[in-house]
Amino acid sequence: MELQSPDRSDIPDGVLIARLRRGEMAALAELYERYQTPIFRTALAITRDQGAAEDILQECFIRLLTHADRIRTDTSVGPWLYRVAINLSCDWLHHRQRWPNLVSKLVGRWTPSLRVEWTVEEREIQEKVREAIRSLPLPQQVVIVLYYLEGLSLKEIADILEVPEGTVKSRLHYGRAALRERLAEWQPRRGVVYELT
Amino acid sequence: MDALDVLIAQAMQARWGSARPSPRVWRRIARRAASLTFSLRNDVSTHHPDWRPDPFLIPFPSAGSLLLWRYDLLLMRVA
Repeated sequence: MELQSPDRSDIPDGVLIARLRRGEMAALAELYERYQTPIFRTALAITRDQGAAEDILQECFIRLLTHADRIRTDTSVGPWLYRVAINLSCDWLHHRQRWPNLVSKLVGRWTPSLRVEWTVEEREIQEKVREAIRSLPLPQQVVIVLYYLEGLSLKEIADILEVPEGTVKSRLHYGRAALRERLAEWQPRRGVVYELT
Repeated sequence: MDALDVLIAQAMQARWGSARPSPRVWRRIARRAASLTFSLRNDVSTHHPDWRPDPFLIPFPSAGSLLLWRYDLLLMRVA
């Protein structure tokens, strides 16, 4: 797996996992520094809930500690962390569908965008795109998050999800097709024309 | 990469591209990790070859069960 840790430290993940097995908490801190942002971002983009994403991030690293003996040391730990975060995020969504929490829904809706230089119209279009993504089946949403937000390759996504590369390609293809259709339906009503082909 | 790709990437990056977790997440992890490593180490120590059970440990969950066991022995002797 070619997925590199975002940090430029020379210490390979495998060495840190070995240290973690010996109970060195500094190794856990180092791995947290490396992966906290992409794991949090992924969980946030799937759950769209700041509190849930933070809980999932915490649980990922607790599992990293408790499962350190079973984690491979010859590859990056990134795919393993992504996998756990995605599974926990999907579980959280399923649970929330059964027990909708109005407060967290409102909080999630009002999580502010960190970039403020977009125009009102651009923000409206972006919100529409995010709404359209949210309406996709969960496996397609996950692939879209990893591909467009995390910038991972099809092979990296396939390794994380433990599915064939063709499956990732297919989910991306059908996800994009559905988005194109939904956004095309919306455009004439708004009077905004975007060439999406 | 076409216009749709750009639109999707922009929509996602604008909202979550700069998202960072709160520093309290690490503090929570550190607290839980500290308590977990303590209990994990205790668990591991029982697998050490030099480990022996506490000699004062009574293998009965309560005094009542000890009396019942004795009573059972008494009945066996009588029989």
